[in-house]
Amino acid sequence: MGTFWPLFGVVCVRKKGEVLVTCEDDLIQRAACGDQEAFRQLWEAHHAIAMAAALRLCHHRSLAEDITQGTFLLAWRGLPRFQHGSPFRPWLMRILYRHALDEMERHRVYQQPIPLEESGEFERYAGASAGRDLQEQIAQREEVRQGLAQLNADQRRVIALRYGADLTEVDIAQVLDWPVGTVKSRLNRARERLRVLLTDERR
Amino acid sequence: MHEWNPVERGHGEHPNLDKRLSAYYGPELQEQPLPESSWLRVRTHLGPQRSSKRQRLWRWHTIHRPRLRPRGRRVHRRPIPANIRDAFSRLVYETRQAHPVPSLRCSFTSRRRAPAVRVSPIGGRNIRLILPLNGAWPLEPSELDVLLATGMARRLYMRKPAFLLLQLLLVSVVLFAGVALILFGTHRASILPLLIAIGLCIVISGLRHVQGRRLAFQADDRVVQWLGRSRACQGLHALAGHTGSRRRGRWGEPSLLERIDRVCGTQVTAETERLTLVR
Repeated sequence: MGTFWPLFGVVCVRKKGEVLVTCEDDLIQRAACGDQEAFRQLWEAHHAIAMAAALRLCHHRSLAEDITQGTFLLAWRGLPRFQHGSPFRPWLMRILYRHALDEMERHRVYQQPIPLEESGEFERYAGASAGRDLQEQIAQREEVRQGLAQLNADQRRVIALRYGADLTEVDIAQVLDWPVGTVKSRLNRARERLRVLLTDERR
Repeated sequence: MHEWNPVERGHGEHPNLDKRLSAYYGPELQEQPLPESSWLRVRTHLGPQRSSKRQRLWRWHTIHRPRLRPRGRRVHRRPIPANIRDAFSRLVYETRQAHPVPSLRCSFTSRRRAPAVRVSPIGGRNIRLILPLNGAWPLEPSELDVLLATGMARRLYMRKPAFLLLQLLLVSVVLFAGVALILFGTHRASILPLLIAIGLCIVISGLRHVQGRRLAFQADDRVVQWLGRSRACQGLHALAGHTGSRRRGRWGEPSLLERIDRVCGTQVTAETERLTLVR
């Protein structure tokens, strides 16, 4: 029997003494022709990363799961138009970011407090110690969330992609299909507004 | 945007604000695997692929082309049932099918009483599962496994050069016989080439019959290797239950009872084995 191993997002099936049977390009081509088993292997290789990215953006586990599933459904529909030979993950992540930003606006995520269990988990990742530090960081994050809630949707989008996805302005422009200049101006305005809002909040 | 470029943090115009925003989103998270149910939920929503322009044109062509098939013979195309699709995917994985992996087509016909599997001798990827249109009974898992594994195994042997060569020879001889017949009819040419062609057709057909049976038995041996003798036997018995007391196979194919006899080692008749048979 063969073995499965994920290698930089590439799923391979190896047969004893024979050539590689299934690699990502092959899986993509098969999935583009409607092969659900091939798509399942793509899901296995990429869904955990996609879920982590969605969770980092929206901070709500159930919503992040919906976003991940929705992203894969969008990817399934878009696969016949996928440019073969291109890497799959960046393409998938572009879909994920667009879909996540739409879903977050639709669910008014910034209007709702971050669930405590998610908040605690994030602080642990950030390396905060238990007790007073943790409480302080949770409070600060709530302030930022309230600030973000007062921005307009486009400003929230650029902020989310810049700080929640670590994208450059050029990458943000490609994800949102905006000119780079527009991204820069919206990012600057959003920062200015947030700075004012957070300073007022402190007073 | 095919390259992934994470940006450096904390060098914006507002370092304090940058820091707070970075703290709000937190660092990059570790992978968050989802449970199997999550995939199942996605799978239930996977519809047909949105086709490209070329595929749409082909579909338009196939819908609007003149129908050559007689109207009386109805073959219904329906989506492949989920259990069959799952069993096929599992078998493809477990049997480690070589590239290009086979694909399954399923058709329903009112002319058959029992399920059957067909593989095109031309060497395509398709394995065709033919199911009776009004078969109220469900296929047992072992029965389904045997049908699908038989299709895969036969496809494997049909791609061997010896089989393909004989097919080619048969087609050539039939063509030769056709030409000889036309020549005889129009020009009153010698009858000898026609007789030779007919003789060759009979010989090649006989060879095709023998080779077909041999291929079917070899495929059965492979099925036994893949599924194990007991499961293969169980599946063949279940199939025999559906085909009733049919003893003769098609041309170039052994009957089910011959296959059972060879695989299980015991001659089994459908009527004696099935205690719950309703007459």
